Amino acid sequence: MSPSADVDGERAVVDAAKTGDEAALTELYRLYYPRVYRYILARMGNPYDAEDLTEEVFLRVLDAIERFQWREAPFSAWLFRIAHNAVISQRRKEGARGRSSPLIEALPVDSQGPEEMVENRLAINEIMKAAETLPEAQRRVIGLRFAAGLTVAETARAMGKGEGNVKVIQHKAIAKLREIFVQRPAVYGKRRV
Amino acid sequence: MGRGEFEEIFEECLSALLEGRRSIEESLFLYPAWRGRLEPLLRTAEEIAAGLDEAPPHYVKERGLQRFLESARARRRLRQMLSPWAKEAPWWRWAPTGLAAVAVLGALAIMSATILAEDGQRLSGRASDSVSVKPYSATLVSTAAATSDQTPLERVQERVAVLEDAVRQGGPVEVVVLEDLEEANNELAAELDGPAEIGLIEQVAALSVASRQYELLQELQAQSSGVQARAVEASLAAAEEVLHELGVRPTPAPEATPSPEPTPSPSPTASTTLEPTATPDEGPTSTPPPTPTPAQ
Repeated sequence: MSPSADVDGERAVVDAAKTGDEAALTELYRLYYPRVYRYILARMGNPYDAEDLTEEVFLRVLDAIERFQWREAPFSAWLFRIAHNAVISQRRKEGARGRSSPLIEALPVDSQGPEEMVENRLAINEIMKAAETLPEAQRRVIGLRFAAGLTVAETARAMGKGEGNVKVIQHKAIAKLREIFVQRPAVYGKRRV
Repeated sequence: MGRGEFEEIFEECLSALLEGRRSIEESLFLYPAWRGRLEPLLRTAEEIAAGLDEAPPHYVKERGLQRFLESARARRRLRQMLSPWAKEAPWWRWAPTGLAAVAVLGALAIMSATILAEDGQRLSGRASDSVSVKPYSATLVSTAAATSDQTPLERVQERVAVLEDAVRQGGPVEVVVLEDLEEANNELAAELDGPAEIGLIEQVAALSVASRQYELLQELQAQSSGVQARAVEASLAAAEEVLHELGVRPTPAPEATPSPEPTPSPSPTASTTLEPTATPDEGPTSTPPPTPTPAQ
């Protein structure tokens, strides 16, 4: 369920956070941390990068939240634009250093057993590998819709595109991933639904 | 039926699937005419969603939250420190920019002087002749001497970092560390009380580090006993002295009374135990009353 369902409640929390209210900042952090982490993990493919960058995104939020305006975009779209910029900036740095982000070697997920971890790791690796063949816009839509859990409307605002356009991009991305998956042995992991 | 219509239907089914409102089978039953195209796409979407449904490690999330809140506090303290000046003299807001500009100009001047001096030496060639130009050297002291030449503020900052690490790791804090911290605090308090003019940036840094160590020491005080408790108390007194010299009155941290169960999903009333313990005597202090809950 998208946290944006309770828009009025979130608005009150964001407005309080803009004044520096710690309870509100904590709430925003707890609400969005897992989603930002998942988004960055889906884009970077490495849990350690995802941890560092997620932390950096929230520090950037602190720097910018006073200037956040509701009329421009929903908070989630604004936040994921910051996350996207952080990913792009990190990629640029890695490109300059000649380092490519390695796929996940080990996921430090404390609530899983070894078998489930292996199964899950394969699923993510498979998705990451397949997603690398997609154009940037399609990868971004997959990250925002499936990892960050944004709605089509929020995704469209975060990307600065129309909703219709996002639906087309999403359809193409899933169709392309489908093509790739059927050519490979099935190694899908746990099911969410 | 056009392509746009299928995309609308697919998105509707996908949203229902991701939000757990409807299964794939239910969607296929609702749109039997589209079954052939919908099913493979929805199955793929389901696999992608499952693969990317990765939770961050709990300790990483909590560590990040502590840093996030500490950073928010530091920003608030800085704002509070600067707000009286900003009201009385609005040009103060440009002070950091001005300082940065002066620093850049200074660096450029030094670089120019160095280059000119080196050029002069090279061009003269015959150094033993009448002209002797010495290149500028910025390092007048050796590195070893520089490290032993720490200011009291730098000493306190270094020791608070050690204390923070020890407290965060839950390990024992040695008495000698606390005594060292106390001594550094005493020196800093003496410097603040002395005749020398302390710059605004140093004052802000001193306030930040003193408030932080005050919080850490209070946290440590609750777990200490015997010799260590006495050392903590002495360090606390020294930290208070520093805060006092900075015109800040520390307030004791409220006692945490853990609620019976943690709050799994955040609500507008959720809050943390983290509340600044040092509030300036003057200036805005519009923080809500703390209602501590255990960290999750």
